Amino acid sequence: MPLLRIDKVVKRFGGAVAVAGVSLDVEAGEFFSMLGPSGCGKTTLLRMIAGFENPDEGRIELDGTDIRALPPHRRPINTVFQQYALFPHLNVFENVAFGLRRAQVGEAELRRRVTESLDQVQLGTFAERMPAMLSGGQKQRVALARALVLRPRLLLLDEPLGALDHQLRLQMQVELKNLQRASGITFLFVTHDQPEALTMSDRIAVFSRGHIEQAAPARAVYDEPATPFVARFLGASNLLSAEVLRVADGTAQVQLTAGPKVLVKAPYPTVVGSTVSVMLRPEWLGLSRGLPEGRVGAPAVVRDRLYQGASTRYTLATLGMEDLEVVLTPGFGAVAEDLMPGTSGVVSWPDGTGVIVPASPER
Amino acid sequence: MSQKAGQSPPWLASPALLVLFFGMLLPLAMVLLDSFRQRGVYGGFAEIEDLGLYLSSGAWLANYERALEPIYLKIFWRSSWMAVVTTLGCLVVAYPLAWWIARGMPERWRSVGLLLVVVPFWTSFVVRTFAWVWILRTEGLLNQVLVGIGLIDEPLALLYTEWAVLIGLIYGELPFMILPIYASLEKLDTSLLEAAADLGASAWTTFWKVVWPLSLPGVVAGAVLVFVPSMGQFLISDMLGGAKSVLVGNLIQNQFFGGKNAPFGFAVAFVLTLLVLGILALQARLVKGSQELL
Repeated sequence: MPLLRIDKVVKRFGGAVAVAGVSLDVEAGEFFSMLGPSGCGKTTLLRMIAGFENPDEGRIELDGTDIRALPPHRRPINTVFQQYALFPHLNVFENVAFGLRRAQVGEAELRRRVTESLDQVQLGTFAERMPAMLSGGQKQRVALARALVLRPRLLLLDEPLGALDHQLRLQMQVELKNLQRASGITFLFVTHDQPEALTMSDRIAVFSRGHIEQAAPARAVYDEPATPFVARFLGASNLLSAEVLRVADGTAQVQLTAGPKVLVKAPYPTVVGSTVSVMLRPEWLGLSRGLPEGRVGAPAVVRDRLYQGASTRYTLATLGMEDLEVVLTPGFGAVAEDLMPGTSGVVSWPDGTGVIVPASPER
Repeated sequence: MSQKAGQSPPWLASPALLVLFFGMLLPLAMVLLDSFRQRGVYGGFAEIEDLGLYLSSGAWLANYERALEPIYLKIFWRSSWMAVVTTLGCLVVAYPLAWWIARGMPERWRSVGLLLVVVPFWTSFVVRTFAWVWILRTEGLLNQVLVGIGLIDEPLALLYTEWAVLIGLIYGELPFMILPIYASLEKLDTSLLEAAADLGASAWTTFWKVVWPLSLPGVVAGAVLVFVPSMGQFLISDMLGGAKSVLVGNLIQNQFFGGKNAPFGFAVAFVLTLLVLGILALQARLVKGSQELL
């Protein structure tokens, strides 16, 4: 039995459908992310799980029990809010103690647990501070401690890192992941930031316009996207149209439109003779003057070149195909010749690298 | 100018200081001085022939001695508790209304709600208070309705009672309580209420542990705005309380218009000022104490 089961949940606001029949299982102990652009319904779903909104249709089960009728304060679920929502009239200690006081926890145990929780987020010496005197990262940690101290069955995090600067964000990603591992509490994390979701999650559900495009382990979502939307949302990707020639054990031979015949992965059911999209991630591709031994590829002209420090991003015009994005990170064994805009070369990849992305189902 | 951006020169306060000095401090000092004098035979002030004797005999304190006689202390006492009840009454009526306007009403109607709160200010206070005479008198609207629906058999004597004065006071001061409470509730972050519920607080607990303490500044501001004018009111008690309900305001007013004893009026006014300051100080202290408890 999954810890949380979302079953065909629908939520409408006025005429607009915010969540359009979403089903989802979250297992105990998982770090699960709901990823999608703003307005895709992920936050609405989170608010329904917390109890701040009621679904119009469908069920929400926790440990096999329908929790729709429970008000938020009766659910063994806690939330880390986007803007932290710390109580401004209470100091850090009392903010963290708020939930324990509501649960009538004895004073001695309360002190012990609050102190322990503050130590866990490295704020042990900040107990007497008022929230107004904390930095963004510290407020974030207090919000986290305040929710974790109650040892919830499920912790909801609503874009908790959205307000932090880049460096702090990266640091908090690692801390969050470590906290989740150490506590064993199930995290349900909402974000629109795809590297963040990939960094932290065991599994990711990619949302678009109120429904789930794909729910799968982080690596599968990136390497084997189930729809073109997922392929594009998780980083730049090249989607080339191709005709399927042969299919066997998860691989297929395809004819790229106006390109070579290549071998590709086919993680989803594929019909011979159909037209499909083949995904080639920019960092899977190489660029050189000639075609290296053992690779497949196509002639290309460098249209644009963007130096980005550790890597360089090229936009290539290829004969008959759409523009290709290539990201080269020079290093051992990499096919990475630094060609300037206007020069021609060959874009290449090891045969079998591409992945077939099924067309979006009709909705 | 060596003024840095974001700093404000102190002379910006000078118009207000001038008004405060000539409108408040100076008159108050004159009131204090004149309160030590005696009234003349035909009103006005009696001449002081020998200042040394006047001071040493203690005659300069006579007005204050009189103001502290039991009959006047009773008036002070009644004014104080009437003002306290008025403040509490306003709070009980204003808080739910302010909450509803700030958080219950659809956002586009909010300004209409606030407008309705201040609309009464567009008519004269005397006219509005007189409307209460028509509502409360024996053949008035309220009695007619109550008898009409069979709730009572005989009309009640409502007008010219302390109840009538209280109703008038609460009615008159209500907007001054609603507006500051509205201001503090309107800026309350909804996610704080959700956070409280999320952490296990029922609606009731959320109110007492989060909403109430965060709205206290508005409540305190409203209480001061209602309490202070209630202490000095004389119009409402005159019109709705009749001769039975004398408040400090009436007592002072009478010294100037009926009693022709301005120095005694000054003394009573000064005692009233001290009393109000004392009660406000006490209130500030109570609020501070309760905030520390939370």
